[in-house]
Amino acid sequence: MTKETLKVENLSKSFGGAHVLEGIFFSVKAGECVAIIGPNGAGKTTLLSLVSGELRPTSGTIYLFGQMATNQSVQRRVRLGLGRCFQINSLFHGLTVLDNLLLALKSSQSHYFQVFRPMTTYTNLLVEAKQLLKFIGLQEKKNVLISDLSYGEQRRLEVALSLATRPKLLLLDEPSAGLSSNEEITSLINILSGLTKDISIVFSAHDMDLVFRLAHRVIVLYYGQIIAQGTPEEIQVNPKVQEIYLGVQEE
Amino acid sequence: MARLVVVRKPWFVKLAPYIISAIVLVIVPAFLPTYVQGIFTKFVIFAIFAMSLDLLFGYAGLYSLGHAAFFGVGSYTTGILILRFEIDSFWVIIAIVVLLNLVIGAVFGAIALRASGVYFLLLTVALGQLIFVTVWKWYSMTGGNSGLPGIPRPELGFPWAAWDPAGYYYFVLGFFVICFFLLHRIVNSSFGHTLKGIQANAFRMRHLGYNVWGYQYISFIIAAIFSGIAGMLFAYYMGIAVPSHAGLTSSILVFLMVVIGGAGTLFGPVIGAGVIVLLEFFVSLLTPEHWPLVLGSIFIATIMYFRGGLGVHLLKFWQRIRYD
Repeated sequence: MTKETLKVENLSKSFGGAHVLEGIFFSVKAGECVAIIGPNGAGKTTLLSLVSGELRPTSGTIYLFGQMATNQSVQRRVRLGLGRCFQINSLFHGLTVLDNLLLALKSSQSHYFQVFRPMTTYTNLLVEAKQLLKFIGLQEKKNVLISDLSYGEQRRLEVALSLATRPKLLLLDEPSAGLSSNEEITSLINILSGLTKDISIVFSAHDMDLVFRLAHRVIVLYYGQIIAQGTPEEIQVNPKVQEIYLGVQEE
Repeated sequence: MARLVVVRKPWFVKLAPYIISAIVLVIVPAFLPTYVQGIFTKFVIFAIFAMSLDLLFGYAGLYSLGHAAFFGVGSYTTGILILRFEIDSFWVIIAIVVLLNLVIGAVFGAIALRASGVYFLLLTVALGQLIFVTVWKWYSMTGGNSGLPGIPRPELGFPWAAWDPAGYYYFVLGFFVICFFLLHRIVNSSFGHTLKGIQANAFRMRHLGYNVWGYQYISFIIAAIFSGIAGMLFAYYMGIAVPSHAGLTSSILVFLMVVIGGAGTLFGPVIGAGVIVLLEFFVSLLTPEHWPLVLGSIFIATIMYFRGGLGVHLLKFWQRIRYD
C-alpha cells in the first residue's frame, strides 16, 4: 500500500461568523501531485495555511507522514518534511540569491546555534546551493540581490527555497502567480515536473494549463467545500465544475 | 569587444580604513592631553555598548530601548562588589558581571520576546526602568540617587599595571578589540547569517523550520553580556556608578549611536559612538546647554541625508575609491 504523506479529516475553519472551510476530507499519497482549484474565495490558500500550520483549524484533524500534526507548530511540520511556497514571494530582501538559498539549506542541518563558525566554511552547503541554482537556472546570478531579479526569477527562487529544506511534501500556493511569459511558466513547470517522482506536491492554481500538465489528481473547492475530486480528465468533464467555471447549466 | 580592465590600487588604498582606524585609535590618543584621552576612553566604551545593541538592532531585528539596563547592571555590579563586598580582583568582577548579565539577559529576554515589534520595544523600556528604579531606590546597596562613588581603577594583580589616563585608555582599547573581534565572528557565523535572515523575513524563516524565538533569545543574551562589560569598564573609568547609567536616556543615546552610525554594520555604531561622544565634548565646551539641540539635529540630518547611517555611506565611499 502506498503511504499517505497527508491526510485531512473533517477539517473546518471559521473566522468569526464566516465559515471559510467546512468538512474537508482528502489525502495525498507519496509522489502524488494534487491540484486544488476553485474560484477566488473558495478557501484554497486557507486550506494550505491550515496544512502548513500557519493557521489552526476550528475543528478537524491533520495527519502528516502518519503523525497527528493538527496542533504542531510550523517549525515542527517543516522538520517532519513539509515545505511551503507562497503566492506572494516571501524572499530575503537585502540578501543575495546565494545567501537566500544558504538560509534555506542550513535549516535542515544540525549546526543550529554555531555562534563562531564562519559561513564560508560550510563547503557542503555551498556545493548544494550551486546544484540548486543550476536546477532553477540562476547559477549566473548567485551574487545578485533579490531586488535585482526579474519577477520570474524571484518565483523560481521562491520554489527553490521550499525545495532546499528537502521536503517530502511541498505545498505551492499559486506557483505561476504573476508569471506573464510562456517561457517563465514552462520553466516553472519543468522544475516542478522534475520533482513529482520524489516529492508529493499539493498546489493551488487558477492556471488550468499548469493543472492539467502537472496534476495527477484535482480537488475542486467551492465556498469552502469539496464539490469534486478526480483525475484532470474526470474534472474536465464534471458538470458541476463546468457550471462553476463556465456557467454551463446541467440539462 | 570591450575588455574588463582591472585597476590595481596601491596597498595603502586597500588598507586605508584599517590604517586610519589604527592611527585614530592607537597612535593619536598617545599624543593628546589627559582630558581628551579620557574622552577617547568614553568613546571606546560606548563603542562596545553600541556594538552590543547593533547585534539586536542591526542583525536580529529587535529594537530595544532598554539596553542600558545591562550597562547599568555591569556598572553597579562593579561598584557593589568593590565598595560593599570588598572584592577587588578585576578577574572575579568581570566573571560575575558576565554571569549576572547572562542571567538577567535570559530572564528579561524571556519576558520581552513574548512580544514583537513595538510591543517588544515597550517591554524593553519597562524592564529597563525596572533596573533603573531598583538602583535608584535600593539606597543601602546602591547609594540611591547619589550612586556609588569611589570606584578605583581595576585591580589586575599585575604589579606593573599603571593606571594613568593613557594606560586605562589602552586597557579599554584592548577590550574593544576583543569585543569587536568576537562580535565580528558572531555576525559572520552561521548564527549571524541566520539573524540576518530573521531580520529580513522572520515569517519565512519560521516556514523554513527555524526557531526564530531561540535565535533572537540567544542574541539578546549575548548583547546583554557585551553591554554589561561596557558598563563595568565605564564604572571603572568614571569612578562612580549612578542610576543614569541604567536609565532611559542612556538607552536612547546608544540607540542614536547605532542609528547615526549605521545599524547592521558593526563598525557603524563605533563611528556613531565616536561622533556623539566627541561632539558632546566639543559642544559642551562651547555651548553646553545646546547639546540636546545639536544631538537632535544630527539625528534628523542622518535620517534625511544619510539614511542607513554614516558608516554605510563611508563604506560606499571607500568602495568607490577602492574599486573605481
